[in-house]
Amino acid sequence: MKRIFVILSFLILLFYIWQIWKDYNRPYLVYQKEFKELLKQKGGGEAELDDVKFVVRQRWLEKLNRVDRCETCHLGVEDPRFVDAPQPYTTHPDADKHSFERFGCTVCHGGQGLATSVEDAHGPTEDWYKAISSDNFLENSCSKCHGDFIEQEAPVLAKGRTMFKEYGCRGCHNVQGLERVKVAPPLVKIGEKVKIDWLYRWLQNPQMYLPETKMPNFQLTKEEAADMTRFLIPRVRIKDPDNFEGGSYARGKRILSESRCVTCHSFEGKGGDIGPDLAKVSSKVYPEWLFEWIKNPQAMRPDTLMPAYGFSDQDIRDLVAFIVEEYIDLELEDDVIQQNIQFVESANVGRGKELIEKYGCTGCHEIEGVEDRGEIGLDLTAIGDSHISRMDFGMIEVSHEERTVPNWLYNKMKNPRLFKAGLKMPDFTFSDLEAEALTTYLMSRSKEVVPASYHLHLGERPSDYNPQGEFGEILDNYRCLVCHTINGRGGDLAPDISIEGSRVKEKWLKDFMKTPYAIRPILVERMPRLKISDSEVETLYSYFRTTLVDDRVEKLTGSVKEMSLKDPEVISLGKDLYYNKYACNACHQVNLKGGTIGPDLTSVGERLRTEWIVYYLSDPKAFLKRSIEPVYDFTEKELEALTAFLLSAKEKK
Amino acid sequence: MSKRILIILCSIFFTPALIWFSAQVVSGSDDDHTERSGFLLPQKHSTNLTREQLRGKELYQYYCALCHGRTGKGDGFNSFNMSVPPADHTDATVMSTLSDAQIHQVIKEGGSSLGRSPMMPPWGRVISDSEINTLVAYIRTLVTSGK
Repeated sequence: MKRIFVILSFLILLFYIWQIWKDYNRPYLVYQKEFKELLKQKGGGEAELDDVKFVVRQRWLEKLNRVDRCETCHLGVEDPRFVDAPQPYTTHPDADKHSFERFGCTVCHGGQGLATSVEDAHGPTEDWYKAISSDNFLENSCSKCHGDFIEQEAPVLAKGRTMFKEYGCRGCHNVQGLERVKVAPPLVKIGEKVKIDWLYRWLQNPQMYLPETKMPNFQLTKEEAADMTRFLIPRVRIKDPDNFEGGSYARGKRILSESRCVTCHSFEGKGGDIGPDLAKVSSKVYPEWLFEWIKNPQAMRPDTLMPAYGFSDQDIRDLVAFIVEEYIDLELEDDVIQQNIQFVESANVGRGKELIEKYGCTGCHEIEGVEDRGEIGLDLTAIGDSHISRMDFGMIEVSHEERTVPNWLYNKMKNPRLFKAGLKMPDFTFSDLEAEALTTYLMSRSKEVVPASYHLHLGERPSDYNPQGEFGEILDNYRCLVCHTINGRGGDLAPDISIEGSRVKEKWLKDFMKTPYAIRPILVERMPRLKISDSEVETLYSYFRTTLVDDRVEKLTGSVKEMSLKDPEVISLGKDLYYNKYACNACHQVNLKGGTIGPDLTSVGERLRTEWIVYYLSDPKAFLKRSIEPVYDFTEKELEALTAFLLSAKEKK
Repeated sequence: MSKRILIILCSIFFTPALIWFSAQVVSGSDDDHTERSGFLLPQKHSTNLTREQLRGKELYQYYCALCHGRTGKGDGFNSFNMSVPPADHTDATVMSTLSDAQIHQVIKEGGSSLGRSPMMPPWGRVISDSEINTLVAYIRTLVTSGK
């Protein structure tokens, strides 16, 4: 009996000793000892070595309500000598903007700041679900302080944000503060637009027809696709498609190339990506619809990017004739088409409607006869805060360390029906990088609030520039802002025209609008010939000249007048500077001689106002931030001479 | 008395062991039904370049590649229009004769600052000194052969 008690008390003693030993021999002590060794090798002085105390080092970030003990092991983060040292001692790269004093570690990286063991700090562990963000998703934290418009500094996050909008995710998922916009074409009167067999094939796999489409694959069976097609196109078409009064193939071909449709549309892989590829379009749409569409696309779809060209009816008929004959799907066989149509005609309209309601097609499309029941998917307002227990991994076995919210989201993006068969979310066939970008954006959707003193909004809020009246109407009609930017709003395919009135001359602009050409020699001609009327060009120019100007250019008028720009001596000095001292011809051409990076400068005096030339030469980056022109520090005299030479550089005939 | 204590002790030691064992058996039988396929982990974006060199690469592709070429061979699309061909940054014999300071100077102050062609413009007012350092670091990685 006694012996049992002796053994027991001995065991208890051992247990206590073990506990005390465990407390003294914390895992971080190993790292601190190793760090001290490393510091000695790096030539740390006596005093510095004494400074390395074997303790838990913590930062209390009162305003962020965080306590970070990461530097207990990550001892070299602030020391530039540890750039090449292995983890956990490596120097933190680019730490100058985010001081450790103010930000600590976990506000950006995540993880458990209070923990002092590798597993607990990095996670995930049983009781701690927020593991540190993997490098792939790190940018999700940026928006906490830098707001929702951060662009260059967090490219992955910005890409995710754009994708979320463009792929119409908001149609099925609620996110507070984001407007629900139907991103896809309305399907009202779809029967007058597309052919039955095309819609049937499209629904089965949209990428078969248009590889770059944003429409996801719903993985429908043939029967389901047929039912949906039958509902969307209920009646068999009465009009005979061959009845369309055609035009001239040859003339249509010429109009298509003159109008530079290729700037936005690609044909068999060559061309722009603003509009859809048209290589097989005649297997999709009816010619009558195409006619109406080209005549006034904006009447059929107010949010289209396509400009309303000023074509005559005959022009359009010729264009349609050419498109219908040229852009057909050669692999499509007539008897297959007939079989498909017959299959669709025997399908079930009621089931088609049910399917359309089930899959939430109304999230992106407006559909006649189907009630939009709002978002059918999960609310994503605070998806980044989700607890891992809310994420259903289904029957897929995932090891403990890999069970994290971002990993779940990443897999959901890559394969939406992975965790359970028969889910509604369709397959967008995202690449790895796209899935990472979206996951990063989703992880940034969080309710965590940082104090206002930490806010530093980066990037630009979308501009609300929206001119009214006659000018606004022209801008809207020709969809100028799809390619050009004015005051921060618009596309980046074509030059920013925010101060065009200070830049170009009246006569040049009027000629250019009639017959546009490429100002840069290597660019293919992209500005469409819009068939714009004289009075519209007049309106454009008068708006440019009064509103889209820059005082820094306008104020130069006085000093330009004093320059002796016609003096042959000044001109020849300019020529010398142009060719010999500054070698402008490395990038610019005059009369087809010189480089092809910058615009052609032949007869540049007819295009640009003299004030603009002087202004631009003195600081090319003042207006065009992204210009790749080097900045020279020209003297007054050199400016005068170069301007004089440029004005004299006329076309040799 | 001692028997009772023994029984208590035994149950204290054996119960956890039993629980542990049965847990093993249960989780083991689970394995047979689950599948692992299809779950992907985000891949590390591997690169041989340091952060500094990567920044330099960005700048190089934006400002330099038009003449010096995307891979630094001096074959950018604009090189064919120039009377003096752009430097080939992959050529080890030429590049080894240039010090970092010289490359830095040519980028900052242009070719004419070292008595070379003014076709190489000065970038000092466009690209900062520290950015030029990243460019130099990247240009050093372009050397491929000893030709």
